[in-house]
Amino acid sequence: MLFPTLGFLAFFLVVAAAMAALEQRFEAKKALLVVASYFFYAQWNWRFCFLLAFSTAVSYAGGLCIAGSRDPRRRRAFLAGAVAIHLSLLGFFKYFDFITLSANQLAHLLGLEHELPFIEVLLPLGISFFTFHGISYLTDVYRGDVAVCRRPIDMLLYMSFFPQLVAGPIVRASYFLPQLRAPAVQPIPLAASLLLILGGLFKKVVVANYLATQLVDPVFADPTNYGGPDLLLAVYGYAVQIYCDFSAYSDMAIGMAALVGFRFPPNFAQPYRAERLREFWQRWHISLSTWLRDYLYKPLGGNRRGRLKTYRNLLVTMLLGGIWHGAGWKFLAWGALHGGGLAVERALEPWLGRAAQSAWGRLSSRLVVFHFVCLGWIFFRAEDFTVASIYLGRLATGWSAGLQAAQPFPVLLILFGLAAQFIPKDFFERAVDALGRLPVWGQGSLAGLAVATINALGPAGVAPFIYFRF
Amino acid sequence: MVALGRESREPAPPTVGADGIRAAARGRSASPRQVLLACLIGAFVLSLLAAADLPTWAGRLADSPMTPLLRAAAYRWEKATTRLGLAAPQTSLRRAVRRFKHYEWP
Repeated sequence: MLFPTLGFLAFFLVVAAAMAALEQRFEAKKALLVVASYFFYAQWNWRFCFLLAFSTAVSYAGGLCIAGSRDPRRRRAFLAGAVAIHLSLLGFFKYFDFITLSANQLAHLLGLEHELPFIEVLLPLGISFFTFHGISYLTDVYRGDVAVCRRPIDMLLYMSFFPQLVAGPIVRASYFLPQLRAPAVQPIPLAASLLLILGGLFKKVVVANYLATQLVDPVFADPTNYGGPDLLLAVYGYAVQIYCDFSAYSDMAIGMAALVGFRFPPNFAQPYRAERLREFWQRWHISLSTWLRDYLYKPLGGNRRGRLKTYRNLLVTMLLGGIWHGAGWKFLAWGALHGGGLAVERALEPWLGRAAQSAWGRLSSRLVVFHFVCLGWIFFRAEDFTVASIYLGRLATGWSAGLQAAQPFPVLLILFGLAAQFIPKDFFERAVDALGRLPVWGQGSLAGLAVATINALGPAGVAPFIYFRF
Repeated sequence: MVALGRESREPAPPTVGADGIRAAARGRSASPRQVLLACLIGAFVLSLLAAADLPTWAGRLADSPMTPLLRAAAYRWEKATTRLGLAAPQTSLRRAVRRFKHYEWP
């Protein structure tokens, strides 16, 4: 059940009606949201509901064990045990096939005849996200950053809440669990939520879907058929597509959570305007980058143990961030590129700081960062490492051919996506203010009209969100 | 001075713990009933203007005792909105997008 579908609209109407009927009964509302979230998840594959429930049980029991023990060694052992269960599940579902395939290829190279069985494991939707939720909760309880959750219903909702269940944002336990202890003090921001949902719909249905079908998919499917200009514009197109796709999901998740009375953290903040790679990661998939920083980079030592170890920690963190996205050498290459880039940037910081004083310096910094990120997207998007290498080779040499795939329509969408990175910071507030002046029925009518327009502008059918597969 | 000038123009990256909807953007608040009302009205407007998609959606529903009724209702609703001319804006918009999609560089 994808967000931009009539099926989801029907589902959300039922949830909204039940939330309105339950009025002040907060515990009943939480129970309703748990049932709705499991129903939502079961639409893909009901069997994986048991996996989600097991993951929740591990987090719940692990938290109680950690909080119930005063012996530091036992606490650490409980934490390690529960985190190991989470990571084993993630490792099995996400990496079993990759490890088997790589081991068999290695055995073949070494001339060994024995092969490991290949079982084609089905990846449960959102497993990375609920695993990260579980690990975040356990670590926060261990560190004392969040009170242990003693109500099973709260843990069930924290792990399964439908707006973020399958593609984030990753919501920290210390951020979400306190919201479950008492009804929201802040009332529902209707206009802001509607605008986030409508903006997300437009980005996904119109910009991301057309860029994928008109430019990115055909060019990346066979880069040898295209010349340098098409290849370059297809990378720009993918940069805009993945931003519009993923930030759309996050915006809609934030808007829907707000409509049922909960707050989510921001996940994107105009990332392609970043002047540093480090700044890019403060603006892109913020919930993942801060998760990696707090639960991986800092425990590794962060920047506290000298320059070389800082570079090592950056590289290790980004490599693991790359592997988190999927099993494959291309994701390792993507992670290594970003880790290496962050380390080099840190080493050059004094020089870069001086260069960024002028307007030209800042503009060139933006261009360099954007193109570096685009270089990473080639590995990220290509079918595999070999296709990425071919793509880069053609990009370097194939400039005699003209434009075939990058026609005016996709180019206009790319320009739109890049221009959106520079929208003034108070634009959203002004739009909320304008919409909020209308009565509720006016806001609803306008939203219906906007959805109908987006539906007419977009291509037939809706492709799944890119981050569903992670 | 440079830093201050830059601070006022450039939106800074959000910090951990920040809300996806900033306090300044929360606007006027609504109750769950008002949220339901807005959603219902929005869905009604959508069903008037985009009724052409309803039969396809209903056709994909899993079989149940209710499904034939829903499919027939979706079909009748689509016919009714088309008769009233409500499908025309969406059809024109789709045609315009299709034309623009096929523009090529001179």
